[in-house]
Amino acid sequence: MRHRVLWVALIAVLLTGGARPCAAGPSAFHEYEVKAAFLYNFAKFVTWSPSAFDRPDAPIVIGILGDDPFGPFLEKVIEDKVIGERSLEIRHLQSLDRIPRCHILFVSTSERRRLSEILVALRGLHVLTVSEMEPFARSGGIINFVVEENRVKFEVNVAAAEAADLKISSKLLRLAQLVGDIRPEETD
Amino acid sequence: MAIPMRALASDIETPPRACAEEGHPLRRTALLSMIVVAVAWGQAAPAGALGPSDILAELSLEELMNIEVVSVSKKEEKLSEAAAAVFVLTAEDIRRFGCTSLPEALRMVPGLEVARIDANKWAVSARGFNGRFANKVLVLVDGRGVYSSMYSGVFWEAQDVFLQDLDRIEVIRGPGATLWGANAVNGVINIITRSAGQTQGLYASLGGGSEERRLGEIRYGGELGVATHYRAYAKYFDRDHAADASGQDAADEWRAARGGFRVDWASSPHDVLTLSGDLYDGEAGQTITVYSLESPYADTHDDRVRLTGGHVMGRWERAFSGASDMAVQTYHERAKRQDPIIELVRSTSEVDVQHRFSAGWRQEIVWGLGCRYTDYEIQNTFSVAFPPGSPGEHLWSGFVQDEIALSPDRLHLILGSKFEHHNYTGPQILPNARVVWTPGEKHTVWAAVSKAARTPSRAENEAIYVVQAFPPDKFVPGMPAVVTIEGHEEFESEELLAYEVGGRVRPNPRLSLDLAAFYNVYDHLRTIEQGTPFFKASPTPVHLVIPLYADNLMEGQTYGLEVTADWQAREWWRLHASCTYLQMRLRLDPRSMDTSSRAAEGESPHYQVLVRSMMAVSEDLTLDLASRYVDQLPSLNVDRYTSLDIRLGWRLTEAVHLDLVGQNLLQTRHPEFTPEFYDTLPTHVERGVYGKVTWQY
Repeated sequence: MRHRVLWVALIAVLLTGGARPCAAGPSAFHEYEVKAAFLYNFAKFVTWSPSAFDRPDAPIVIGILGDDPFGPFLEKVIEDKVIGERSLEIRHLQSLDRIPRCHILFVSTSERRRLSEILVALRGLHVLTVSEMEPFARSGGIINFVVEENRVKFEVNVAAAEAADLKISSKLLRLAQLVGDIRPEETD
Repeated sequence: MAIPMRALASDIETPPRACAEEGHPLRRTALLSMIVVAVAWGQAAPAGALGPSDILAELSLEELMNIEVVSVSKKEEKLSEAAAAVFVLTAEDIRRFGCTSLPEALRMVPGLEVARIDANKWAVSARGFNGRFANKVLVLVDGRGVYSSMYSGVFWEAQDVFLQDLDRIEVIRGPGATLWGANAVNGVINIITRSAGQTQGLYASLGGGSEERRLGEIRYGGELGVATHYRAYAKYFDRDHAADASGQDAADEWRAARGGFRVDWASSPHDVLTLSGDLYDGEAGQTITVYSLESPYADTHDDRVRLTGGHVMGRWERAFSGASDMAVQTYHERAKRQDPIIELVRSTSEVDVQHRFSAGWRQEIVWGLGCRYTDYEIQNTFSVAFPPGSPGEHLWSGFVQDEIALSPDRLHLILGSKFEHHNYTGPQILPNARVVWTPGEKHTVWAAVSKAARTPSRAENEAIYVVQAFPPDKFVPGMPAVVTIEGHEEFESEELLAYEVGGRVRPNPRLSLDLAAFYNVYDHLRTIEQGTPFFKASPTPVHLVIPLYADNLMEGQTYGLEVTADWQAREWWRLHASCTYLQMRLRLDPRSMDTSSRAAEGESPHYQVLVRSMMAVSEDLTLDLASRYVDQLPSLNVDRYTSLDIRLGWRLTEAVHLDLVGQNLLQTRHPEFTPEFYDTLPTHVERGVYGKVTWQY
């Protein structure tokens, strides 16, 4: 059985590879394909307080703030997925106004210039913030992707998660690089 | 012309669709083995041969962490930008200052000179040489050049976008000719709108006030499928006239309507296809002096310029991999201007291709080719006449730029050149060399030497423009006389050799300081020389012509310093301050009889200071202030002034926002500029207040 699958895979690789001379160079998985899968996993391993949802079956909303690096990947990953009773939904955001409606907020690197403004707008909200820029997690964001040796890793700022009233499963934390908050003292 | 690339889904490389077997119930072991095979095979096969993304969703976190990925993360700051005096005005900045037009938004950019001539005309430049026909700054809207080769300049009253959907305005001070081509001498203004996917939902706003009499905007963005987004918009505004020097109402009110659309289709994970277009119709009032051979010879009256036009643009962006992509862009634009002194239709078609790739570990090469065809339909008048039957303009261009990592992450060298050929002005080679040194994460130092050229306009080459008329007996008994600027084929490009240095310091994430200094050496600058008077029988009556013509008999140096600081003082308070110093030294060739061109020294301010404050007073209240100090313009008799704009934003509900904006609050009115060439009445900028309700969901 295992062998047959291998052969099918091999033939599929050859056929599709030959049929379409796309993509230059050697490559494995697309970075954002993997990051999209991570986002889905974050939704699985984080628990929001019930007040973050209107109804017990309300969807988990993933907001993408700024340029969307995922292309179609995220959509594909979350399609038809259900976590508990909740389906998943993607929203593209350009302004901060609609952040309160999200459960996960992916902050695109295009928003780097207004990062501090975004983090301020998020204060007191039950939003799992995810990004991929240094020093996101250290500045008050919750999860930050890091690519090391072509593998996707992530940092978690536990204090920031607690402040947002989110429970992160120990399964996730065990794999994370934990970071602290280097934010300067609270200003008000 | 370089195409601004979106750092979007376009950089993405994925499985071809053909091999996606969605919903196939494979067991996890099988999936894993597929991945193992595919990854092993990866050296020879395209990435994409793997199954659908939802294979990955089945994997555990540990497994995900062990998957090798192709990294495509774009450099957050393009190296070429790190190596120049670049400022980016974000969508948030534009929204926070209640700007209602592009030139007013440009006032928020440090180092730009923005002066309003009347309620619908502006002079916009950088590093000197400002004017209504400021000809040394190139302007692009989504990669579409709006600088006219007819008269070398930008008619700002015909340029607009749906401001809410702006992504950013990138302003490069200093030459950008290697990427952008001729006329990017003192700067490039790149106006970029968001993709349709980023402007989803309904946005509607209505407002009105003393200067912004009425404004209304509506946009709807939706999805046509998983990977296809669209938006359509319409806007209208009606602006009040300004006041003349004595405070009387002028005739420069301005109304315009504009509608447009954009569709973005991510046809595959590698490809994004974009189609966009717009149409506009507007009327801009002015008080103009028109000269003729009959009494009263110089007739000053009020009238309206009708401005209509539109464009359609297509773009295809393809990402081969993270380090290699390509964009092809084409557009057609038509712009009509019905002015009492000229009626002009400009049609432009352009095709551009741009390709970026890495050569080895240390080099990244961008090259491009472009071709533009511009044709004009001109209704000559006595005031402005072009020779009939002139062929259209062809511009062929190519560029190549190589970013070389001399020492990875520390020292980079950027070398490049543009090659252009224009059927009127001939070939141009515009090289540039830049060095960027990044001693640490917090510091960047750069230096550059560039060559740039401002090519002659059609008007300078071949038009006849009447600038003054005199009744009989003034020069010759019984015969009227006119002063004209006659096109001069010998007029050549104005040239610049620019030396720049700059640095950027980010001592902490909340503070950034930017500094740029430049020394520009210009040669062959335009002068207006006197020709030999002659008699002309047509049109009747026979009259004396005192001709002037454009020549290249001036040279000069300009130098200056630009300092910008951005400080997130508190989490709820951001401050921005900038200061610009400029000095111009122009010298006429002894052969020159020019009496006016050196006045450019006093047509740009020596000092400009800009301070902006953005405050989140409470969760629902924002208070933003912008103040500008602009030094005097002695050549134009314009005094120094300080202006203050305030915006108060109040979030009534999540969907409904209220804005109250006060503009130019410090004076009842003040003058900012006087136009050159075109004899329209400059008016004063008046204090204004307007309110706006926005509804968004």
